[in-house]
Amino acid sequence: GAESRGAGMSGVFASFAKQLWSEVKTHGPTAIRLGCLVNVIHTYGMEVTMCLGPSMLPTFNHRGDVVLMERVSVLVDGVENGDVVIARSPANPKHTVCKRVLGRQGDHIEVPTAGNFGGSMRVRVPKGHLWLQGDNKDNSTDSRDYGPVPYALLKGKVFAKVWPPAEAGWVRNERWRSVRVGEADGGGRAV
Amino acid sequence: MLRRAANVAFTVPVFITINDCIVSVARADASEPRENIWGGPRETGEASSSSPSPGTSARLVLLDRVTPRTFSFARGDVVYLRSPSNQDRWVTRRLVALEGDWVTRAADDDVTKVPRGHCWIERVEAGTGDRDEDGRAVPLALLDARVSHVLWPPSEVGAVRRKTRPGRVLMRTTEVDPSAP
Repeated sequence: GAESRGAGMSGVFASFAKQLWSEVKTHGPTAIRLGCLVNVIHTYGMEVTMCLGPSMLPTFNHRGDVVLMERVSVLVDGVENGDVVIARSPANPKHTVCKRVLGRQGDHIEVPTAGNFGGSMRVRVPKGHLWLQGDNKDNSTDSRDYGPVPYALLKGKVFAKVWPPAEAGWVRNERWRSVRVGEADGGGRAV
Repeated sequence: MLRRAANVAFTVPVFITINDCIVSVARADASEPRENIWGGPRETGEASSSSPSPGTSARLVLLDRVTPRTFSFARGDVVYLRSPSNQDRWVTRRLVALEGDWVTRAADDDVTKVPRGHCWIERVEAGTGDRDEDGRAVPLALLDARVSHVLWPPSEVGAVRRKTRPGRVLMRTTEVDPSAP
């Protein structure tokens, strides 16, 4: 073996490399399969992720909450008005945003405008898109800034909060936040 | 027997991961009239655009799924994405411009700036000045894959080349790392 050739740095490295390679060969395939299994669970099942920022106060902390997100609802088009979702940001493909769905395609809704003077505006959500808005309307960059978001940018639906422990619990659908506007009379409200 | 089944089941996620993250095969939209992807003139007549002409077969393409993960798209790539106006349909388009570029629309010479985080896509066919050629800006995150090769029909097999639209795109002057925010 390499050791019998006598002392020398190359001998030590060679035996180390041989041992490393045999460890990789033994455990490598299992590690790869396990990694891919985790990847599949994350992509099609559930993922643990974090929601950061003041835009979803009081539902989520601005210091960051750890939440559970499930992918199934998005895959089967089961996302409803009032659900909290995580989506890829239209303004920066590397970021994600955590917001609530206030309107689905075809909905005619009334949303509060950003800013300190209150007021609201009416929006019709185009086909294939969703209207996302933060619960903290005064401090949230959302569809009021970057427009309705294509459905394909959705990653998953947030269904539970697990950290901080004092606030752990289910994240509920708050349908009352989505205000639908009747079209014919222009003033009636149909929920 | 059970052990073998477990073994097989344990390997399935590997193929799913390869399909999602590295490379996969897909059928490119055969219902809309498409040019010869090499950039040549359309084989079928212009008038037959509403229904697939006989002899239009499905096109199988190889999708590169590494590029969207590293955000290394380049102008002129053919990309694969879910249609923003209909989430059940997948379409192929040519990526003409990246964020910060100014694009001159083919139809009416209007100039638009591509917003932050978005890119400008148009139909793959080269310019003929048709009204229905107008592109649109979509979020870069919407792009699912880059079409790297055509696998079927045999007459079109080969790598898909980048084709830019000369004269219509004013690129950002600081040379852009496409993954910069």
